Amino acid sequence: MEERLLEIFKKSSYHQLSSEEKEFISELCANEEDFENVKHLYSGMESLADESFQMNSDTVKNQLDAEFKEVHSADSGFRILKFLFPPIAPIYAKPGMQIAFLLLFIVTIYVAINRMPINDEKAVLYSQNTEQEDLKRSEEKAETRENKTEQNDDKLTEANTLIPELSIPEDLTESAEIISNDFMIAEVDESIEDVLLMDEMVSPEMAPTTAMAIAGVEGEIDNDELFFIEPIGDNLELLDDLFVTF
Amino acid sequence: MRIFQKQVKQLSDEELMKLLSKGNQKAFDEIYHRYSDVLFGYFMKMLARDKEKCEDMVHDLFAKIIRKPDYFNVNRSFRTWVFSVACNMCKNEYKRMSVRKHVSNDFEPTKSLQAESDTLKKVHESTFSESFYKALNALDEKHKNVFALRHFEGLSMKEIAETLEINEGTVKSRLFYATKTLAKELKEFNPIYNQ
Repeated sequence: MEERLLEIFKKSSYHQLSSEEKEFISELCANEEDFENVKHLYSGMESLADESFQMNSDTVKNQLDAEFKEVHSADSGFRILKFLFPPIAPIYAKPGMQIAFLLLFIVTIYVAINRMPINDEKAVLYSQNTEQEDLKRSEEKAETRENKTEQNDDKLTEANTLIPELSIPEDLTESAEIISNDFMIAEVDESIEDVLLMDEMVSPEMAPTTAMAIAGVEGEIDNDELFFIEPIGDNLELLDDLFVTF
Repeated sequence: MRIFQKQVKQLSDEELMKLLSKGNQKAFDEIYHRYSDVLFGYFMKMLARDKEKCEDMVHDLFAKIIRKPDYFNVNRSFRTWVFSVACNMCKNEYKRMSVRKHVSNDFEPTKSLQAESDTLKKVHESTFSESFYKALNALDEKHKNVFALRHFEGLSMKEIAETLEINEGTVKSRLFYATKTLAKELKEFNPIYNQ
């Protein structure tokens, strides 16, 4: 179509055109003036067609060659290296550099945290240690108490077997009071121990004194050795001396 | 070596692009040899013959081909693809130029001074060639593109349609509009009217 159009404009004047040709170019030229203008344009453009542009710039080609080598030189090497350090990307956008900086950042933070002085560290550790020590002590005490109670139970069973043979002393009321008082002391001692243990947990400085106090209490109990109560069922007379105090 | 060069020269643009994407330097040299002057001429016509700018544009276009050869679809014609890339680069350049024009408008001299300088320019632009390119650059971007691709680069209507991703009918109407406008602008050079 375009070729036919050019042919029409080359060889003909507007008056020489057939009606078919006029219709064919009617979209482009409505009258003779338009036809002449377009014809002149095409003839002028023919002269321009001889005008050729040559880019004799070696710098552009050299730059492109360098760029080509930079891009494709990595092909022969490891692909992972090409991925980590792509040649064209800016240095901050290279994944390898980003990973390296991330690792450096993590190591720096780790070292900084480890070197950071924490004053309360010893106190915290000490309190933690005392807690554990206290727990051990309390466990040991509980064990010793259990042992003692077992021993007492054994004694009681022995005593029970001996009760019928024993003669009830006259000052039974006094001894009963003493026994009960001792038992109460033992109970109070236990509560004191708990309080002292609590104190130790709160203030570790108090630990030695608490330990001494506990040792003293335990010593008393050891000395008395009166930690047994006769079963009332066997000695109903014991109830005679009991009276309501409230 | 000569045999290889012959082989490269016999290859189509699309085959050369395949080799180029694999890092074949010879293929790149051949593509550059085939299209550097053509593209330089296209940019010269489209961008008011600014040689340095046109060289930069050619460099940028080939740099794109080197960096992202995968952008080219092997099933498509390389010629239409490369001109579509060049077209888009021109469009971006026009946008940049229009922004600069808007900014520089604040500092432009008064209209009377401008008119005086225009008449002086007209005296100098006596040749058809200069007036033609001036008129061409004064055209709307879309019409200019179609006209340049048809008459300077010799692309067919179908190829232009592929390059610009428009209908062939649109190509035809744009081409006729550009031709009519240019013919009207350049009628003063017609010897019939000068007699």
